[in-house]
Amino acid sequence: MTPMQAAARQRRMLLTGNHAAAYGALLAKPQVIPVYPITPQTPVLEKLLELAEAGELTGEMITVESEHSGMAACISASLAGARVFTATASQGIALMHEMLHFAAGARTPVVMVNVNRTLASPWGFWADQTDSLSQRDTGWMQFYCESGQEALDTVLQAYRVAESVLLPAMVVIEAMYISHTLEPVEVPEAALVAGFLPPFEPTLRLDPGQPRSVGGVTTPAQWRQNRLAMQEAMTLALGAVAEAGRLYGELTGRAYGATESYRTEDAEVVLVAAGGMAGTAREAVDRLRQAGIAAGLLRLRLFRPFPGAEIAEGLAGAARVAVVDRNCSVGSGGIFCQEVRAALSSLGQGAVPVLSYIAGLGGVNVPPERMMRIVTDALGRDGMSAGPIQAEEL
Amino acid sequence: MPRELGAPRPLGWSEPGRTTLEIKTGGWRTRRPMYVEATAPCRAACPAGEAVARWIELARRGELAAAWALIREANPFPAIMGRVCAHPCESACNRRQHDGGVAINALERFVGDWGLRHGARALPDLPRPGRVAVVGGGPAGLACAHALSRRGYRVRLYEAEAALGGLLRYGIPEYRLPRAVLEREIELGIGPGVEVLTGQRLGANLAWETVAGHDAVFLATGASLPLGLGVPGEQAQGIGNGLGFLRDLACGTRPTLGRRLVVVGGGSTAMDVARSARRLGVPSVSVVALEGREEMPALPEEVSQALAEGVEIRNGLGVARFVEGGGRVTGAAVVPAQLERGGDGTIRPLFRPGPSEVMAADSVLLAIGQRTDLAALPPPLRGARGLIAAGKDGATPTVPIFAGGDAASAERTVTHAVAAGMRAARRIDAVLSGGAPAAPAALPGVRALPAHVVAFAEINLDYFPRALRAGRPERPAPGRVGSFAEVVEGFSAVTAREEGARCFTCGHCVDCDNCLIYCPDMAVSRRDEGGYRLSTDHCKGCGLCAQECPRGALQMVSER
Ligand SMILES: Cc1cc2nc3c(=O)[nH]c(=O)nc-3n(C[C@H](O)[C@H](O)[C@H](O)COP(=O)(O)OP(=O)(O)OC[C@H]3O[C@@H](n4cnc5c(N)ncnc54)[C@H](O)[C@@H]3O)c2cc1C
Ligand code: SF4
Ligand code: SF4
Repeated sequence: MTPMQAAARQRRMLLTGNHAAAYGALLAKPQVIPVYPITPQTPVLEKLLELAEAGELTGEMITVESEHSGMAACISASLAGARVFTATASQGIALMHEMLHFAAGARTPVVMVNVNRTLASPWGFWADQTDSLSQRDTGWMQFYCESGQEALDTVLQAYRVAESVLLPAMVVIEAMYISHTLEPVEVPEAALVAGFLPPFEPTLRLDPGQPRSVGGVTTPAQWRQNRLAMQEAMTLALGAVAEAGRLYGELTGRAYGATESYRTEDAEVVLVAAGGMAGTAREAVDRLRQAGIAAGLLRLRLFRPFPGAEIAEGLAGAARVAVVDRNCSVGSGGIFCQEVRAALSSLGQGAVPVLSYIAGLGGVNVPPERMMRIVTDALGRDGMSAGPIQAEEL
Repeated sequence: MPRELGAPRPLGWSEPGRTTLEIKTGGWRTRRPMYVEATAPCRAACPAGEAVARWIELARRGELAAAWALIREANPFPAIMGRVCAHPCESACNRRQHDGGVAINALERFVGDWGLRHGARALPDLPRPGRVAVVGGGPAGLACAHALSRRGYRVRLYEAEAALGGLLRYGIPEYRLPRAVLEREIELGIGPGVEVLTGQRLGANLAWETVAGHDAVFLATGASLPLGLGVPGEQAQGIGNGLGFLRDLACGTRPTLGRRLVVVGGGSTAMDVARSARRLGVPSVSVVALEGREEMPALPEEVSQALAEGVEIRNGLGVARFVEGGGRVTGAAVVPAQLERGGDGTIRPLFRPGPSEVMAADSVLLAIGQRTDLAALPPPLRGARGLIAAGKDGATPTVPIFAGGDAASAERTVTHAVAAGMRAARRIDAVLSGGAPAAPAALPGVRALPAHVVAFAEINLDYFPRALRAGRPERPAPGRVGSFAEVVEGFSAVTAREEGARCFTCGHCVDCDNCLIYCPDMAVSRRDEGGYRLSTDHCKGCGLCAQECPRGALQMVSER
């Protein structure tokens, strides 16, 4: 399809990130949608209700009494063979924690949008990645989106990947900066993506006519085997993400990968960022390049499975790496940074100096100037720092 | 390579047909749930021991014939009970601690009234050889005759008066118990095996030997001798006894009482006398009671109904003497007093120092209790405190002679009398058939625990949203003083269903499916015949079912 043809089959709408995610869900045609409202995710739910009332969304929306029950309903519906969508944030995903493990262990390809928001206490409604990052070991795939457009596109890709490897997937956008910000979004027409995401047809499903059990008690050996199979599925998912991003690009003109390298060739300092801050970093890179400083950006889109090899390749030529985290694993530091360092070191690139910057915690704004200051700070250091560097204090 | 869309789920699924039932979690168990049929507190408090929880359950499901039959196993007179019983069951009801006790008495009337219209006389199970004499046709005698004839015995029912009913007919006024209700319920209660002989007074035209010649005897002659005050002036004209007045009224005589009546006493009889006098047009009716307003033995609703009908009630006063003029009473001198209870259960007034006051009166009616007439009985039967000598089960020292009701007990209510009649019938049956009747078997898989009375704490209130107790409709007071028409009205079918739905059904399984839904190991399954089966292969003893049973019909028992 030519870009002209692709553009003709998409409608440009002015949408918030939340509403864009809801349109992504609409296009995926989920059959069961258990959701519990929570700020700042509520507009996702509201838009879905509007679409349901208008008769556009035909899946069954279930109002649940908590996020824990919501995820339990997702798992059951998915095991019964339904395509399932849900969305949450912050305390909601924390309450779901137990069920997140259950969903992954039962190999249910649930897709969930999570709006990154601070966790209490104290109370707040602002952007912070800790809520989703602290679910990193649950067995869910995690995508971090830079824009509303990407949220819509990623929901569709996440279903395709999830249903091919049978693991649940989380599509993450940040509170306010993405969730509540209006931007023009290309909404594909249903027929354009129908072939990309055919109906979910699992060969095994819960069916009272053919009773079977799932998720019952296992022996230690069986349990171990299940874990290994999940790990194997995560490895397969790396390929599936790449394939889905490429195919989606062919259809819509917007291709995606697990990571994105921007002006990293010959870069002296490569910024590494995920989510909304990546857009700011791109702007900073451009301004720095204008000022003659060789900066680049490696955007992390996929966090689970962690695309270590792709990252190592993207950073291969960098003299210095500055990872910017809008999160802080208290007692350690930025979570993306830890993962990047671990990947580089396990792939024999441990010598590349990787500096950890923490920026924008609790929703504090990170303007391009701060990103630029991170780069100049990184250039000024000999590549070492005892602990994470607080970007707001530079 | 990514798997194809719809690849089989790799692990955690069993083979077709192999469900979690093959995982036998029963071995983990140290405790086990047990379906029980425990006693609801209403039943424990009902003198007649009616299976209240179960008949309410039947009634709310619309099975009125079954509800009616079940009440009548313990008490053949639900329509009468639903009007005159003091309903101790409601005071014990667990729902009181939630949002108000269930209106059991009104529901009983609803079921009883259904029986008046649709019920049929009880027929005997099978004929038995014994012939029993019942003396006295009040509630005790009637209940006993009913129960014996249902068991197949032939009964001779001797009654001194011209008609059956005892105080139900000659005491309790029509505005509380309409004659039609009484007649129909007696008719339904007396089976074909009962020979009714009225106008037969033991000690007068009925010889003790005639009675004693039966295989067994039940004496239920009530307490008919009125008590006096023993104060000066009591012999004056215009002073009479309340029971005699009510009896005259029931027989169609309308005694003249003048314009001012003083009624002495604080119980049901005093209220009935005072309210009847108001209905006869007496403008000023005052009740003098020793007890404080709250301690009066009359039911609170009787007291409030009397007040609404213009009766004055003076509490904490005792009559010291009567004032007379020309041999006729003109007043009652009253002084502050209280009731004193002796250690042997007797009661007497204790006058306290204070101003004496004369209440003007054209007539005075005493309603302070009755004694049993023991004169016609052989000496071994004459017991202490003026009662026939009989144990709780009715047995007298001279077997096979039994006695019960007002004649043998100081617990003087219709319900106690009925219970005494039913109990005596059981004992007489045991004596005549040479064995105790077999206790009815509990449902399969259900353990009967009659001694366990379900406590409020055993009710899972999450399943019972608050709902207000239904009030009993009453005809407006101004209109009712002019007539003897019934004051309290019955429940509509809708109200009865709603009120019945408030009952927790304490201690009885109602097939609500909660245990089945909550059991995480699918150890609970339905039985075709109702109720549930527990799989000991799967029950791991977690106790969720017992916790979630709304009504205490499941209990955990140790297996160690
Ligand atoms: C005015 C009044 C109101 C009452 N209101 C209530 C009430 O609202 N609720 C309540 O629960 N209780 C009430 N009671 C008490 C209740 O009526 C009695 O406890 C109950 O009737 C006792 O029943 P019984 O069968 O033992 O005796 P009774 O009802 O007195 O019946 C005894 C029967 O034996 C007959 N008899 C007596 N002597 C002989 C004899 N020698 N030979 C043959 N037959 C004989 C009598 O004619 C009578 O029919 C009230 C009592 C009175 C007086
Ligand atoms: S007979 Fe009286 S105590 Fe027994 S259930 Fe009926 S109203 Fe309650
Ligand atoms: S709730 Fe029902 S069963 Fe329980 S005590 Fe009250 S009337 Fe009886």
